[in-house]
Amino acid sequence: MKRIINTFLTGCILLCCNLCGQGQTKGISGDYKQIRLPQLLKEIQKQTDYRLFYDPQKLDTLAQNISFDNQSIEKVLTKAFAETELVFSIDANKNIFITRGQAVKTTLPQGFLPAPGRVTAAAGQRPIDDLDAEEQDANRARAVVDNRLYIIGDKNQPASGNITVTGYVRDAKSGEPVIGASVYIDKPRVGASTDQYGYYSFQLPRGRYILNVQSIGMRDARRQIQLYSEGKMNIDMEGQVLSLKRVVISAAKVNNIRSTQMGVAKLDIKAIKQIPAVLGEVDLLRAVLTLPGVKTTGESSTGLNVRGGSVDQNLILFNDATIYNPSHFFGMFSAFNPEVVKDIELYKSSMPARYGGRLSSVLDIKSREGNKKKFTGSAGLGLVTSRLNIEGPLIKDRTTFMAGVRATYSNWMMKFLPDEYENSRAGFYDANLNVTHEFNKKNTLFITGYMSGDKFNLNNDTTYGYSNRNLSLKLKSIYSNKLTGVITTGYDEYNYDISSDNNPYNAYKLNFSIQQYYFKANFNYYINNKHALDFGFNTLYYKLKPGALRAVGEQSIVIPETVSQEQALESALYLSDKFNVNDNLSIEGGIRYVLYNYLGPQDIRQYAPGVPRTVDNITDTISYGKNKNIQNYGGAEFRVSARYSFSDAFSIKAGFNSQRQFIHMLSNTAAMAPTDIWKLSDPNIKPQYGEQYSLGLYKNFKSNTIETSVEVYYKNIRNFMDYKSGAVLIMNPHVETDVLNTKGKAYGVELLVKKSTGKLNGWISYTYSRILLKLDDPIAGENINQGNWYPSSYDKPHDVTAIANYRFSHRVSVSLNSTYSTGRPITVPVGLFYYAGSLRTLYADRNSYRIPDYFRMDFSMNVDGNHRVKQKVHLSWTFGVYNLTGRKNPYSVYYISENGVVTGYKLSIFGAVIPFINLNLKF
Amino acid sequence: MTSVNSISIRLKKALAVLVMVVLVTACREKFEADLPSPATGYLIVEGIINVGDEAVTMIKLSRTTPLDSRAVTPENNAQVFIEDEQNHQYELALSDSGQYYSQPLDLPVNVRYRLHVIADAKEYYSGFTDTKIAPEIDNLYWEPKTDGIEIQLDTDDPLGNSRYYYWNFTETWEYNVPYFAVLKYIQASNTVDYRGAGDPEIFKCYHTLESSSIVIASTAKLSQDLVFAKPITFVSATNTSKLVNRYSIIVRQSVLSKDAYEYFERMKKNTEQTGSIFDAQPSQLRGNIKCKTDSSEIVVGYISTSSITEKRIFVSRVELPAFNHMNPFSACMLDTVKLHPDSLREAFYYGSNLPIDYWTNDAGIRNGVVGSASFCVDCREQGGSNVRPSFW
Repeated sequence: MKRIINTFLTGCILLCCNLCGQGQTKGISGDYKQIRLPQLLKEIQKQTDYRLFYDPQKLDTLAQNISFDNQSIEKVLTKAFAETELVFSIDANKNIFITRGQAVKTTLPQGFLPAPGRVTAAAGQRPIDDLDAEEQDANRARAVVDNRLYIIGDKNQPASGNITVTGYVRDAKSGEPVIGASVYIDKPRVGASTDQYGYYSFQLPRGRYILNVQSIGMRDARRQIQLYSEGKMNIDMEGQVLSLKRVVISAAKVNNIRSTQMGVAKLDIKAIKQIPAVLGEVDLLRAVLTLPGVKTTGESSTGLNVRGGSVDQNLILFNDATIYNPSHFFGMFSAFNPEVVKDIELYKSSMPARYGGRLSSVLDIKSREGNKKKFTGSAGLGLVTSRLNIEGPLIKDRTTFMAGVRATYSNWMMKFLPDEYENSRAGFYDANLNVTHEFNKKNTLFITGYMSGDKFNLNNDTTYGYSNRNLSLKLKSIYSNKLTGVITTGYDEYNYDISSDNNPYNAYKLNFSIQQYYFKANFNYYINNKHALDFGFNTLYYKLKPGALRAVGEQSIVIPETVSQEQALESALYLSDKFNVNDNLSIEGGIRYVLYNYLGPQDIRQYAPGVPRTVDNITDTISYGKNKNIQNYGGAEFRVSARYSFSDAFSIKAGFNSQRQFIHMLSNTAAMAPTDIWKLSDPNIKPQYGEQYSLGLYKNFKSNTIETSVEVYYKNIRNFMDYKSGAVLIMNPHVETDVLNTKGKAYGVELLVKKSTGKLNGWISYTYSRILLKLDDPIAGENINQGNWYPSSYDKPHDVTAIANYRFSHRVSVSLNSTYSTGRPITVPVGLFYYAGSLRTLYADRNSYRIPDYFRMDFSMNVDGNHRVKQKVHLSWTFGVYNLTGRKNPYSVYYISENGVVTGYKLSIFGAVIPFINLNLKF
Repeated sequence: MTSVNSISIRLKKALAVLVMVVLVTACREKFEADLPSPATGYLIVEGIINVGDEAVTMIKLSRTTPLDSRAVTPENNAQVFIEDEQNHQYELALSDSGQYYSQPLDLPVNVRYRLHVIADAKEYYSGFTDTKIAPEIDNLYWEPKTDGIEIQLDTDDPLGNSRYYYWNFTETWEYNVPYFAVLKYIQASNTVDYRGAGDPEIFKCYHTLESSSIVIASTAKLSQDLVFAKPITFVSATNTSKLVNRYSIIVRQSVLSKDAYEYFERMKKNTEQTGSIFDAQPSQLRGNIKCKTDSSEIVVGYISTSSITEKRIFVSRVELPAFNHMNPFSACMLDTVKLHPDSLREAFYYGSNLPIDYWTNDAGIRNGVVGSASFCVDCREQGGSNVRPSFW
C-alpha cells in the first residue's frame, strides 16, 4: 500500500514540473545511438502532443541504441523501457505518467482524495510531528535515489565470472570521503569497506543487486545496481543531522568480528570530544589513553606506553608525517588541533606491513579534507587555547582547502607565579593546512602541512623552545578497478633549542634537530574476493643533529661544540595478502624486508671486546667519509594474522608480528621531556627488535550493539634501552658509554565490553599487563637489580577504565569517565647517609616500590544550540569537571634533602577538582 | 655553572614552577611511604685530603641508617690514614664524634694520595687521585634579589688546570634581642639585682650554620677556566633572621677531578634535585672508595686531594635595600611585676620570663620590675652563642 501511495505521490509532485509539449498526434520515428532515457523522452515529447510526466531523477541511466519507424507512442515507450522497471500509463487527456514498477492509475478509487484539488505531499505518509520541512525534503530525495536503478558497465560486454565494482563513498554535504563505510550486498554476503579516501572495491557476478552502504554518523544508503561489466559506482551519503552527538567508537559495527586485524582501535573526533579533558582542552592523546593497553607514566605526560612499549616505540603519523614530539607545554597537552582531526587509529598488535620502524604501535591520525561544496569554519574558546578553522572549495568539487590554527594565551597563568618569576613567559601554537586537488576521477593530490611550536622562558633566564614542521605530498591514483596506489613524499623536522643569557660569560644556545625525507609507494591490488594484495616500498633518509652548542654574545666564553651529525637510510619492501579462505576463515600474511644503512661522514669508536664500554676502553676511532656505508642492519619482519568466525557474532583471531626500530629516544626521565634527544642506531647501538604473539576472542551480542573481546599478548623485546646510573645524554659524543641494552618482556590480557549505540553508550575495559626488563649486557659495566627482572617505570599491572555517555536529548548529553590503575614503580631510598652538611638518601634497586594506586573520575556535559541545518552559526558548550572526587593521585613520591634534613613528599599533578568550560562555534 | 650541565637542572626548576603554579592545582604534600628499610650500616667517608701549607685534613666517618631513623650515626672506632704512592703514611686521630683530624701537614703536591680506613675489621681504600691546587677566590659578593640576597663568587685559574670546583661555606650572623636587660633574677634569694661584669652577655649573639647543600661548578665547556657570578647560596631576609643585623659568610674552595665532580653532581641530583616531573630516575652512587675484601660493598663518598682556599665577607643591614625583614621578636611584650616576693617568684622562678629593669613611678619610687619572655631577653634562647667570633 505504501508503495502505491509513494508512487502516486510522486506522480502528484510531477504535476509541478511537467514538460509541456505542443504538436500533432502522429507516429514517432527516429534512430538513436547510445541515447539515455531523459534525452530520448525529450525527443519523443517533441514528436507528439502527449504530455509526459516523470521525475528525471528516477530514470535509469542506461544508454541504449534504439530506432523507431513511425510507431505509436505506446510501442515506442514499451520498447524504450524494455530493459528497465519503468512503466507508464496514459490518461484521457493525453497525459503520460512514467513511473517505476507500478503504473499510475489514471482514475482514482472513489473517495481517495480528501478533497478535490491540490493533494498535499504529507497525506498519509508518516507522522511528521518531529520532522521539519527540510527533513521531509531530504527523505524524499533519498527515497528517490534509493529507488533508482544504476546501470554499471556495458550490457553488451560478455560477462565472465566476477566483475569488479569500485567507487567512492562521500559525504553528500561536504564532499569529504566517508572512511570505513561498509558497502555490501546481502545475498550473497559480499562487501568491502572504504579506505581512507572513501574508496571501495569488490567483486560480484553479473546481475542485479541492492547495494547497502553503512557508516557511522551517516544515514544508511541503498543503491539498486544492474551490473553488466566493470564500472564505478560513487555514492553520496547523508550525514545524520539528528544525532550530532552520537558517540561511536572503533570501526564499523561488525568489523570487530569480521576483520582479521587485532588490537586495532579507532576513535573518531566526536567520541574524543566527548571525553572530559584537562581544562577542557580536547586532547587526542589523552583520549587514546582511555583505550585498553595504553598507559602513561603520569598525568603530566601525553607520552604513550602501548602494551609495555616505551614512549619512543610509537610511530605517530599525522597525515603520513612522523611527529616526533606530539605535545605542547612540556607534555601537558597534545599538539593536535581537534578541529582539524577526523579520526585516529591505533594499531597495537596487527601492524599492517606498510608500517614499520617502531616496535610497539602505530598511531595514525588523519585530518579532515576541506568542505568541497562551500566555505565553512569553526572557532573555539577554551581556558588554555583558542582555535580557528576555515575550509572550503578553491575550485568547486575539485580543489578544497582547510586551514586550522590554535594558539595559547597561557601567559595569563604566569600571573600566578611568585614575583620573582614575573618575567616568565610560556606559549605554544599549531597550524595545519590541507589542500586536496582532484585532477580527475582517478587521480587526487593531497598536500598537507603541519607546524607546531612551543616556547617557555623562566624569568628571562633559560628559554626552551621546540617545534615540529611537516610537509607531505600524496598522490592517490586508481590505475584500474583492481589496482590503486598512493605515492607519498615529504619532509619532517623536529628541533629544539635551549638558550640562556643570564650570565654573560656563560650565555649559550643549544640546538638539536631531526630531519627526515621520505618516499613511500603503496599499492593495493584486488585480485578477487579471495585475495587482495597490499605491497609497496618505503625509503626514509634521516639527518640528525645531536647537538650544537654555541656562545651567545661577545662576552661569552662558552666553547662552541658540535656533536657530529648522523645520517642513515631506512628502506623497506613489503607485500601482504589478505586471503579469504572461506566465509569463516581469513588470513592476512605480510612480510616486510627492512634495510638500514648508517652512513658517513662519521667517526666510530671501537671498544675493546668483552670489557665495559667506557671512554677508557676506546681502542680506536675510525673515520668514514661522506655517504660511506658504515653499518647495515636489516632483516625480514613478519605480520601475520588470522581470523576464524564461528558465526556472524563470534570469532577468534591470532597474530604474530615482528618489528625493528633504528631510531631511539634517549631519556632517563620518567616523563617525556623536551630535552630528550634521539639517536640513530650505529655500530655501537644496535636496533631494537620486538616480536608479539597475540590471541583474541570476539563476541557480539544484541545484534552487534554490544561488543565484547578478550585479547592476550606476549612480547619479547631485545636491545631495549636503559641507562647507566647518572647517564649524560645531552651533548655526549659517545653516548654508547652511557646506555645499556636490556631485554624486555611484556604480557597482558585486555578485556573490553562496549556498547556503541543507544542513549546510553560507552565501554568498560580491564587490562592486566606487565613489562619487565632485565640487564643481560655482559659489557654493561654495572648491573641493575643484580641482573634480575625489574619492572619498567610504567609497569601498572591492573587498569580499569569505564566511559559512559548518556544522551538526554539531541541537545544535551553527559559523559562520565572513570579510571583506576595500579601505582607505577619508582626508585625509593633504602637508607640515609649524612654528607656535605645534610642527611641524604641512599638508593639501591631500581623501581622497587609502587606509588599509591590511581583513581580518577571526570564528568562533562555537552549542550548544543538548536540543530537547524540552515542556521548560520551553531553554538555548543562543554562544561565539565576533571577529577570529580578531587583525589590527590600521586604522580611521584620522592625524598629530598632540604636545610639538612630529608623530607618525603608526594606530588600530585591534578590533585584537585578542576572545572572547565569550552565554547565552540561552527559557521 | 657550565651551560650544559645546568640545562637539566634549570629545566627541572622551570617545570616544577610551571606545574605547581600554572596548573594551580598541582600540589605536593609531605608523605612517608611505608618502605622496607634494612639496617644497612654502610660506611660513609667524607672529606678532602688537604695539601695546603700546614694544612689539617679532616675526614668524617659515619654509617648509613634506616630511612625511619633520621639520625647521624658517627663511626668512632676506625683508624684513618693518608697514604701516598711512596708508602708514606699519615695517621688521623679521632677528635669529635666521627671526625678524624691530621696533624698540620705540608703534603708535597707532586705526588698522589689516597685514604686508608680500617673500620669494623675491614679495610677500605680510596683510589689514588690527582692532587689539585685550588686557585684563590677572586671575588665574593652579594646581589640583591627579591626578599633577600644571593652570595656570588668569581674565580679563575689562568693555567686552566682546575675546571671542577667544589665549595662549602659557613654562615655567621649577629643578632640581638629587643630588650637590653640591666637586671638579673637570683633564684636562690628570689630577688632581682643589677647585672655585673661577671654576668654573661645576653643581648647580642652570633649564630653559625654550616652549608647543607652541594655547590659545584664546571668550566670544562668554557674556553677559559673562569667561574663568574656563581651563586653560592641565597640568604633570605624574610624567612630567617640572618640579615637582621650583620651577616658574614666564609666560602671554602677546592678543586675536584672530573670523576669526583660527576659523583657530586649525581649525589646532588639524587638528593636535592629530585621530585619534579622530569627528574632523572635516582641512581646508585659509586664513589672511589672500595672495601678491600668485598668490592661490591657499598661505600658512600669520594675522596679528592686538593688545597683549600677561602674568602670571607660581611654584609650589614644598612648596606641592604629595603627588604620586608623578618622580625623574629614580633611576639615580644613587656610586662610589669610587683616588687613582691610572691609576684617575683611567679614571674621569674621557672626561667620562662626574665627581668629587664625596674619600673619606677612618677615619684621616682621603684614599685615593680619590667620583664618579658626569656627568648625576648636572652639571645642565647634563639640558638646562637654569646661568644663573639674571633673574625668579627
